[in-house]
Amino acid sequence: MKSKKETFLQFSKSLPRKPYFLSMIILIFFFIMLGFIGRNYYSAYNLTTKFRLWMPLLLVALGQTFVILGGGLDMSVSSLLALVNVVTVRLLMSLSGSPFQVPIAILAGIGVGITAGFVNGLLVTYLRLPPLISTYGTQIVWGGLALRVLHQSGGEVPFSWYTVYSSTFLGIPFSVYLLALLLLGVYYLKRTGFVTQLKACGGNIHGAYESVLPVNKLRIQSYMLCGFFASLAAICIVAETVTGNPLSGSGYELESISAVALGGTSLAGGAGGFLGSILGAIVLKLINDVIFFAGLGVNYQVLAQGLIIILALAAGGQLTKQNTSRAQLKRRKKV
Amino acid sequence: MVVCKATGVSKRYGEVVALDNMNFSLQESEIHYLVGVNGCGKSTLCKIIAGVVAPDAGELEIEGVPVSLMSPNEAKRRGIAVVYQELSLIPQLSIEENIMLGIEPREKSLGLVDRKASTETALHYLGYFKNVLPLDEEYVKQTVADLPIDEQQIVEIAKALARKPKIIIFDEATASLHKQQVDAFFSILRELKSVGVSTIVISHKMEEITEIGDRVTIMRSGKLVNTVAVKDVTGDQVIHMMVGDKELLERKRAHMDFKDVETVFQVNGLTGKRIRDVSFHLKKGEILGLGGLQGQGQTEVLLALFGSIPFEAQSVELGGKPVDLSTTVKAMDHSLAYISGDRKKAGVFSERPIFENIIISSLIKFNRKVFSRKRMNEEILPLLSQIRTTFGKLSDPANSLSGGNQQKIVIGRWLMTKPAILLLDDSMKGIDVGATKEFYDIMHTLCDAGMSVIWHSSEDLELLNNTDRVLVFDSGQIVDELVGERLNEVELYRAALDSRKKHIAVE
Ligand SMILES: Nc1ncnc2c1ncn2[C@@H]1O[C@H](COP(=O)(O)OP(=O)(O)OP(=O)(O)O)[C@@H](O)[C@H]1O
Ligand SMILES: [Mg+2]
Repeated sequence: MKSKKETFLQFSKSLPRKPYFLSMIILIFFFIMLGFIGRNYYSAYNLTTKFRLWMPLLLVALGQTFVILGGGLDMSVSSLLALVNVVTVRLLMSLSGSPFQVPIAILAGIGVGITAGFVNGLLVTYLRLPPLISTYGTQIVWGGLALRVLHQSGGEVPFSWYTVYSSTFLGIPFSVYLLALLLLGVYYLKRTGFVTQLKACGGNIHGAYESVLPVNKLRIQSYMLCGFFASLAAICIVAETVTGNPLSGSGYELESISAVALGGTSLAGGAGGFLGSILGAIVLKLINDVIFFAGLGVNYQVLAQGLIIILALAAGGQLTKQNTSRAQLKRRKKV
Repeated sequence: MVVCKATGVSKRYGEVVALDNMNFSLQESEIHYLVGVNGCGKSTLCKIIAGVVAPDAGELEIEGVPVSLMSPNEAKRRGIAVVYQELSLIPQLSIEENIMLGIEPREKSLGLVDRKASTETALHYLGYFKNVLPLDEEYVKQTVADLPIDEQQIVEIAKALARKPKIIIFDEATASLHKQQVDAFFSILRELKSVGVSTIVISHKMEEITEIGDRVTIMRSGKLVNTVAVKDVTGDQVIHMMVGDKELLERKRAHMDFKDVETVFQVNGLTGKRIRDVSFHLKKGEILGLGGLQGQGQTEVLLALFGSIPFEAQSVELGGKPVDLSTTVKAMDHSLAYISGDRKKAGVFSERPIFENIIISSLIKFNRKVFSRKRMNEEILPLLSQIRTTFGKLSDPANSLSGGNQQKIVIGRWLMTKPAILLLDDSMKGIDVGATKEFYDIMHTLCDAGMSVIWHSSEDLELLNNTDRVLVFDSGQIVDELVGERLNEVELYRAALDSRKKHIAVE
């Protein structure tokens, strides 16, 4: 048996080769910076508020990771957020007074998310449409549906939603528990081999087919999981804003994809992981804060944000290259 | 008992007829060789049996039971496993994950993958190759993309074995394996036979058939020529059935004296990864072989000269003038060309049309925006048809070709750059006997016209029969030089092994 110390040493040695290494470094750097320039950044109040605001992106990025690992892409998550948002709010309003108001609204929201993912999955597998185009199409469709359900912002959401969502237990916010629970679920899927099989589809779809994997089923499931995570994100947004908004998710599709890429997952599919996407999403959110506290003029904030993302992605690519040559070097030494 | 029977199977791809009313039957626990020239339909037949490709017509019976619609799933249920010619591995996953993909052992309670059992099973099936691989738990965690092609091939074999098949198909599984690895592979075949597994083996290496085959089926242009017991035929007869009435002459390059010929290429003190202080010269029109045991730095020397891997050298002179070969483009500018046998990694752009695959290097070398279709039609296409390349249209993607024909396209590409010095690195991998002989002829003709060749091959006879001189490599060094009378197998093995003994004595 290995001792704990040995295991730890081995882990820290392998760290630079982890896909999320880069986003981790940037994250630590940002956190240190914010410690200096961010006034009171580390107060408990600020951190819990921040985390709540990050939550939707974290969730969408997790869902997006499934799809990207399986060799796909989901551009429709943004308007799916809006659709789930308005469906939930409409149901809350029409069921107001019923004892099942809340569970029905939440389950229906999740149901819409999973169904939308299923439709995306069917389009890219059985109809063989390219993911980028077909999910761009469904993005427009979900958006249109959302406007049909609620044509402008508004609607009554019980304030208890916000109270629960912003509550803390033992000093830890509700959203952290929710995320932990979901990560446990992701870990379970990893240990059942689902994620590996999904990576196989993304890495070499012919090979996966020849290895008798249920390729279509796996890819559809990845889109359904993405829909599931997106619907949870939408519900978090409802709880945070306590109102409905048919345009609430705009920008999330590209932001989630950037988070996944920053986290070291290959956009071509087949390689990467979930922890990276979480770190990548937080990095994206922190960029804004860092720029803000650095005192950069408003006019430069967007520019700086774009440059940092490109730099981080470029550094990530460099790192992958180094790791490949390192692996090859290691082999050579052995031979 | 007949375990697998295909009757009247046909398959067309557009204009190309891959299989034409083909019949095939496999007996229980036999080793059945399936041979034929490139593009005759061997891989297609296997894919139909494996359910990956649907036939246009014909019937399939497994263990006497007709199968109406074969699918990969159906094939798996009936115990059929395949080692694919173009490998079905997932490059991003580890060796273990690849071997256990879709057959992960599970713990009872939660349906989680039993990681310990998974590693053990992977190691168990790789264990047949324990003499040629550094097997341990760390080894199986490596990413497949980092493995050299021969080890990838071994992983693919282990993957098929791990499916505990009753029928197993090896599509050119030995094409990338070294001698020792092939021996390990043969012991697998024998063991499978002894436990009643039936195997179909596709190979272009004729000597394998007599060594281990029970029966052999010969195909030509998608049709069955004959199925015979191996003991009833000679290798020559098999080859004749493969190619039809065409004459196949055993031609050997005449010994020539290069003493007074000008030296075109001179390398002194070449050093790099796996290369230690290599010096040699190459005369105009000469074919220089790089021999010895496998993996002794021969490939690296070629890669270094082609600017693909970094190296240091006291001097590299081309036509008496020092040259800089540090990048591939520079090497191409100096009219070097390199043909790799690892077509997947270093050869074919599989999604691109065939003609793009042919012209790409010439476009780069001659720095042209347009290419001369005339030159391609008049010079390269005849060459390709001489090495019997068959394809539908030039605009078809390269992956529509059979494995051997893809390799021929790569050869065509580099010959089109009009190289003065051609570097061959096991370039005949996956190419059938007839076409290989034609290729030798082309080499000899081009060398008579002034081209020089540096040729590395894992087939010793290929080297000995086609070169004027062989440098024997060991641990990255040249340990001997064979010329004239010494160009024979005995001398080659002795040279390769002698230095081994000395090494051991010193250490
Ligand atoms: N997917 C495809 N699309 C179009 N044509 C194809 C396809 N697959 C195979 N072919 C054609 O079918 C014919 C038979 O190919 P196959 O791969 O069965 O040959 P093979 O006998 O395995 O040859 P090799 O020894 O070179 O591997 C070839 O002419 C090939 O070009
Ligand atoms: Mg083939």
